[in-house]
Order: sequence, then C-alpha cells, then structure tokens
Amino acid sequence: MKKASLLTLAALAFLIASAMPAAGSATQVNASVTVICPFTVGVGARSVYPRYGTVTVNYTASSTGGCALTPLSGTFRVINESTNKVVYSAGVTIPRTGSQTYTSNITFPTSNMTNTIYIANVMFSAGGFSTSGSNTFALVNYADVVIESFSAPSTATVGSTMSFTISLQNTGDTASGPIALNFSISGPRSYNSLLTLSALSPGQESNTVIILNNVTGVVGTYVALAAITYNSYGSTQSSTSSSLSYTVSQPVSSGPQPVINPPSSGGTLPPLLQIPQVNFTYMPLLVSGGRNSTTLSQIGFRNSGNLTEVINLTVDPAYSSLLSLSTDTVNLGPNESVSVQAYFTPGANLPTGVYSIPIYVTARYQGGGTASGTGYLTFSVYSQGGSQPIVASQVALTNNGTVLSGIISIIAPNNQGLRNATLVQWLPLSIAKNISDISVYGLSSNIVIENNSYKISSKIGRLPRSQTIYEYYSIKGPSNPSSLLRSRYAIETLSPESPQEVLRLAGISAPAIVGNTVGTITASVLYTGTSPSNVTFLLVPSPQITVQNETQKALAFPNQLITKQFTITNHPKNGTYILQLYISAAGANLTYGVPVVINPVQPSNPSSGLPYLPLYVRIGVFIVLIIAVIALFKGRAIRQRYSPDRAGTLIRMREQIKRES
Amino acid sequence: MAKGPYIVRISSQKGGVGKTTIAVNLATVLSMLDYKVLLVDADYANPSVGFHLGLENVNRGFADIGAKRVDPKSVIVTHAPTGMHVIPGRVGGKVVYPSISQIEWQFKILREENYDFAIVDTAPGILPFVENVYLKNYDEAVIVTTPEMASCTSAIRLAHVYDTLGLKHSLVVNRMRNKRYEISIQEIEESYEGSVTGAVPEDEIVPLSIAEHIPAYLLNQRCGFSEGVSRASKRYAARVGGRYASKREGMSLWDRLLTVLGLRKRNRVLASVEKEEEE
Ligand SMILES: Nc1ncnc2c1ncn2[C@@H]1O[C@H](COP(=O)(O)OP(=O)(O)O)[C@@H](O)[C@H]1O
Ligand SMILES: [Mg+2]
Repeated sequence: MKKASLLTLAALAFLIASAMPAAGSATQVNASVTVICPFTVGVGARSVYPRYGTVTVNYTASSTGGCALTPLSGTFRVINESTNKVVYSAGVTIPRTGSQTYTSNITFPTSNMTNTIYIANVMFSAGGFSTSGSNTFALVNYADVVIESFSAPSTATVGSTMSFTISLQNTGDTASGPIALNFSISGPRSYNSLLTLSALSPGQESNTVIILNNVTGVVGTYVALAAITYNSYGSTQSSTSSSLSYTVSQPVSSGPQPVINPPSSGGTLPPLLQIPQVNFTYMPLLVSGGRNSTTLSQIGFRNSGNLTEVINLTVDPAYSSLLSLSTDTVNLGPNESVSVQAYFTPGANLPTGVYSIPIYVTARYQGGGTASGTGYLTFSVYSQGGSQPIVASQVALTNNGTVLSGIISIIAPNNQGLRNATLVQWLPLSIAKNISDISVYGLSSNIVIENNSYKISSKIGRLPRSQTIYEYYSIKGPSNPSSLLRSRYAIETLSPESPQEVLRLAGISAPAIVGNTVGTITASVLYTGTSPSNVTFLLVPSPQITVQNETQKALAFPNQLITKQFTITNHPKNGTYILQLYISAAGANLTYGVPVVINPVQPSNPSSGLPYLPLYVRIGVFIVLIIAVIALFKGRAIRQRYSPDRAGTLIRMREQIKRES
Repeated sequence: MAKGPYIVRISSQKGGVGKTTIAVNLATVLSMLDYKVLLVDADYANPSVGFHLGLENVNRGFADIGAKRVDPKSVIVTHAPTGMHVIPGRVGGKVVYPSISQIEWQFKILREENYDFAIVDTAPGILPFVENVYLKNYDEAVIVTTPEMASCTSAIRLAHVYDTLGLKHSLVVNRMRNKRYEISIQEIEESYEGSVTGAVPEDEIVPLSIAEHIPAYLLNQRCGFSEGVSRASKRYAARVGGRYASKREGMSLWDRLLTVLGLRKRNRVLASVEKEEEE
C-alpha cells in the first residue's frame, strides 16, 4: 500500500479557500467553514488479477493529525497504464465514523478491460487541495487447462487390454488448482473413474495413461469420455469434454479364439465342478500367460473318503495345443493328495484375450458309481514386451474352496518404466462377506466399498522397465468364486515427475589441492522421495586422480540430507580435472561434474615438511612461520604502494563531480 | 504486512568490473548461510546471471514480469545446488526496456515475496530518465569497482548520484592483483565516502566457474576469491541480522595462520551450515 501526498497544509488552505467566495459574491455568504482533519489515503491491491468477473481492491484513509476523519467524498479511478485512459470511475466516500482510519472495498467489472497493467487511484479533494493514493495491478488470463489430446486404439479384440492417454496443458497465464479428471466408458460394458491430477503452472503439460481390462469383454462399439474441472482464483473452471470411440470385435484367426466359456446366462457362471469325496486343494480359476512362453499352474486333489478314487481329466480337443496336463488319470488312495500340472503355452500368434478352456472330468468313485462334468480353466493371454504395462493374474481356490488366493503381477513395458502408477482392482461385493475377510499384501494398498464392489487401490512408486512387481490377496470364505472372473482392474499412470524433485544436490565442495596430496570432496543431497530409499554415490576416478572410496551407500528417509565424503589422491600434474559424480535413489538420479584443481607442488609447503623434523626445530619453524604470516598479513596492505598523489587526484575528482552536478 | 526482502542493487558506472560475478556469488554465499535469497538479473540488455548458474536457456525473464500477462511465479526458478531462487534474464529475444510503472510493478512483486534478500544485478550506469523514480525501491546499492583510475572515478561519480537521491551505498573492490601500480584499498578508503565492504582478488576460479556454470564459491570455498566474497557477504548479512551475520572484520590472524599451515580443516561457513543440517 502506498501513501500519497499529505494533507497537512490542506486544512489551513481550505479555511482560506472557503472564505474567498464570500468576498466574491454577496449572495453566497452562507459558505460554511469546515476544518478538515489531515489524512493520507492508500489503495490495497494484489499484483495480479485474472481477467474475468470482477476485481475487488480497497482504500484506506488514515488521519495524520490525530483527529477523527472528516466525512468527504472523492473519486476512484482505474487507469490503463499504457494508454492513460480511465477505464472505470466511481464515487467513494469517507463517512462520519468518529475514528482515525477508514477502509472500504471497491469492486469493479473487468468485462471491458484488456490484459495489461492498470493503476487504481483514489482521490479526495477539498477546497482546491487533494490527496490521493494509488497502486498498480495487472490483469492476466486465468488458468485455462485444455485437453490437448485424448487417444486410444480405435479397434480391439475381445478380452484385450485398452490403454487411454489423456494429455492436458495449461494454456492460461496463472496456475491451476489440482485437476479432477472424470473418465468414463459407455457401451456394452461401462466404466467410470474420477482421478485427481496435480496442478499445472502456465504452459505446463501432463500426460495420464489409463489401462483397463474388462472394457473389451463384449463385441460392440464403446464411447470413452474425458472431462476436467479445476479451480483458478476461486472460480471453478471446466474444459469441454473430449470423446473417442472404439470397436471391439472377435479376432480373425484360424486357431482357437478367445472366448468366455460357457456363455454365461444372467451374469452367473456355472458352479465349480464337484466330485463327491474329493476335495480340491488347489483349483486355478484364472491364469495369465504371455505369448510364446509357458505358464505353469496346477490342480490339486485330496481324497477325503476312505476308499480309492479314480479321476480322468481330458482337455477339450479344440484347445489341446494351448493346454496340456501332466497326466490324465489320477488314482487317489484314502487321504492321499495329488497335483496335476497344467502347462499353458500360448503360441506367438495366438490372439490376445481371455480363453475359458473346458476340462471334461469323469470320476469313478468306489463308494458308488460315476460322476462326470465340465470344469473350466480360464487363461488370459497377453503379448509380452510391448510398450504398455501388463497386468497378469492368477486366482486359485485353496483349502477345498475355503480360501481364495490371488496374485496380480504388473509388468512394466520394455521401453519405459512406470512411475506413480496406481493399480485399481474391483472385486464383486458378493465375493466376501466382510471387508475384513480380504487381505492384501505386497504393495501398499487400501480397500474401500464403492459401487457394489470392493475397490483395492495399490500404489506403485516406481517400476523400472520390463520388471515385474507382485501384489497378493486372499479372501477367507469366498462365496461366489466364479464371479471373480468378472473382476476388473485398471492401472492409472499419472505423468512422471521430474527426477530432480526426488534428489536435490544441496552442496558440493571440491578442493584445490597441491600435487601428490590427499584431499576430500564432500557431497550432500537432499532426498525428497515419499518412502525410504537407498541413495548411492559413485565418484568416478580419472587417470590423474584416484578415489579411495568410489562407491558409498546410505539409506535415506524422506527429506533427509545425506552427506558423503570422498578421499582423493592425485598424481602431480597441474590442471583442472572434472570427476563425474553419480547419485541415485529409487526414482531419480543426478550427475554432476566435480572440478578438482591441482596446484603445482610447492617445495616450501610447511605441512609436507614439518613432520620429519625434530620437535625443537618444529617449534622454531613454527615461530618463524608466525612471523612470516604476520609479515604476509601486513605485507598485503603495503604490497600495493600507497600513493598520496593518486589519493589526492581521486579526492579532487570527487569534489569536481560534486561541484558540477 | 510482510517486511519484504532487503533489496540490494549491484551496480557500477563502468561495465565489465564484475557486477554479475559478485552478485551471483554474494547470493550463493547468503543462501549457503541459510538466508532466503532471490537473485534477479535486471540487466535487460545483457543478462548474464544465467551463465554462472547453468540457467542460460530459460525463455522468460525479469522484463516479462513488467510486460503484461505473466504470472510472477512462473519466471522464478530454483537453482538446485544452492536452493536460491533466481529470476534470470531472457538471453534470447529482443531487448525490452520497461516503463516506469512496469518497474514500479516489478518491485512491488519483489516486496511481496517472502525473501531475506533480493540481489538485483543491473546494467552499468543508471537507466536514463527513470532513476529517481525507481531507485527509492532499493535498500542499498553495492558499487563494484576495480582498482584502477577510470573505474574508481566512475564509482565515485555513481556514489554521488546515490547520495543526492538518498540511497545508502557501499563499495566492493574486485579483481585486486596486489600490484604496485594498482590503486590501494587505503587510497580508495580515503576518497570514497562510504564503507568499503569487500576486497576481492583476481582469481582464475572465476572464468573456470563461468565455463562450468557453477558459482565460483561452490567450486572452491577456500580460494582467495571465495574468501573475499564470503567476507563481504557476511557484512551484508549483518544488515538483516541472523545467526551468521558477522560483525568481525574478516579473518583473524589465527585463522590465517591455521589456513597457511593447512590445519584449518574446513571452511567455517560450510562447517556451520553442515552443523545446522545435522541437527
Ligand atoms: N575476481 C575476478 N577474477 C577474475 N576474473 C573476474 C573477476 N571478476 C570478474 N571477472 C571476469 O570479468 C568478466 C566480467 O565480469 P562480469 O561479472 O560479467 O562483469 P559485469 O557484470 O560488471 O559486466 C568476466 O568474464 C569474469 O570472468
Ligand atoms: Mg553483468
């Protein structure tokens, strides 16, 4: 707030001025004599306002005479700084309040103003004298976040994974608040999610990738919609929504096709195969496997009766190239357990998607007759080594169906790591009686009930390219295991943060050392990651400089400063050498060139000469040194010779400059 | 109302005396001493702060704050090794001289930010026609000079301008080479009516630091240049107070002795900063 000219003299002047008209005209003798309390006025304004709606500034009048403010009216003006045009003006007042200061707000519209610098001015005049105050502000465009692009493949095959990329940019002049992204899919399958993305500064861009399974389960056309809302200077802004469509069809291939067997009716799958007197110790429900590789699963049986049972298993011939079993006949003695290995080998060209493979089972149990039925093993096939992350899962029933256990593996694409990704999994509400019956481990997760599902969100801080990370879950007393085949998952990848934000070089000291001596380099980094990480320092030696402790490690907690010292020795060759220092932590790395200056060996260097001398000589040298140092210290001032002439010239010039300006 | 930063104008009447070098390293020392520092390149015509800091490729500068449509926050960058904030100059593009009200507005923004120091590197001389309007925005002007006649006379001339406008000023003598023909500190102290806060030697570390894009003080804290700048910096630190502000005039004889003997292990500034960090 700026103060303007004082009204100290105005009170007196006003007395004179108001007395004048009385002399000029005999008819106007009723002019009153008012004593004005002297005051200053200031205008309060922010430096920037977004140009929409209205702007509110304030003005404050403060008495400078220790008296109560006199009621007055004045004018408020907004002036365009470059054109000097008044773009807004309004009357303002100081009412009779009896106090020494008065503040009031003024609000004006910006509809007819452009983006430039303005001067807000308040002026009060009385009796020919005036006091005014002003302040400068600029109008800028508010944040304007737009969906730059929204893309996904336009065709997909049944059961394949879909990946959507949404790029945002703030094309406005001010920073936005956090951005809410509403993403939805409608069609034969629907999907809806609300993501919170970080705020964007002017010009900044962000990319969000959403990877979904189960939005390609049924043939048809789907529409995906993305819309954003965010806050800018207290106002909620939203973008026009962006949409795209994609078509899901059956893949064209002569071999086996992905298909969910048997076609489910009314949303329920047939119950699991039951064999009297036989328990399943391990019954896979869903197994994922990459193309051109073999994935092993197993079917475990236990005979709970007291007679031997014989079980025959046959894979549907249409799928015999995909699935083979280690045996087709199992003889189970009383209380005996056996597992049959199931090898799943999708070929390199097998269409990706979900395959439910029928296994025909006949059991001749000696307790009484024959049972036969069809069981289904569901496999999902993905293509490996792509540019998209892969989510693979294995779900199995154990303990004769009393526990359901699942492993989800996330495989990072082979061209790029994953950073700040979230794995979201929806399990049907009917799968467990209680949220507490579900436990998740392996990744930091939380479970909530949302939209008739258990929603499990797990954080993946960083996953380097082509690497795999696992999450495990188990459900006690699952009530409708086959409904799990309908469970959905999604990976939501927010745009990667720049690595420097996790590791910050806080200080580095590089010595200038004398040839053939030992020096130290101290490096400090601030680790700002969200979870503890190992920080590794590597100082690479050069032919001239040996580093004694090249690699050093430390465990860093969030916001911890880690300092490491390296001991270096050099060969006596003068010059400046740059040593490369690499510092890395989970999710970040830093490289820094540390210059080391090597000075020539000085024969008189006391620190290298002293240790070899007897004590009395050392004391002597020490005293001589003190004297030498004092001489050096004094000598510094007298090395440049004091010249009264030069000082005189400078002083003469100084006086001349003063006289002539 | 926040008290705002102590705004220092790094100036000289003559070009090439080391304003930018002093500004960058003064800001570096102050930030290593834990002060919150904003370094501003206000040399509209020849911005060069960026070369010392590896920030020469930024495409927005101080001039853009004055020009319309720019959010001040968007031109401030953080210099990672020191953590200080910098408003670099825009090296590319045409030269834009701000109007008086733009300058007023730039300073209003500096005042609003919560820094201990704003170190403003300027062009040689004083921007014509607007000096009396905007010089009042500074708390102090540092005049940089070299120990030779032309530069010292110019410094005295600039000091006179500051005196007539009522701006506090102090003098830093840069590039001292301890030669007989050089004007001595004593002569400068006799002729300059103000306090001489720094005597900084000529040092090879400076061109090296520009080539490396690392402030000289970070490259080597024990060289003559860094010790000179560090001593001057502590005098400026004393203007705002705080733990590290030193009223002592330079290095004690004992310090000097230990340094010469190689017994003084570490730079005291660095040591005290590290001690802070350990706590
Ligand atoms: N103390 C010093 N020792 C050696 N060189 C210096 C020193 N101070 C400045 N220089 C050199 O002088 C040149 C001009 O310095 P600079 O700081 O850019 O001056 P200005 O900003 O006043 O134009 C630079 O190239 C720099 O390397
Ligand atoms: Mg310069």
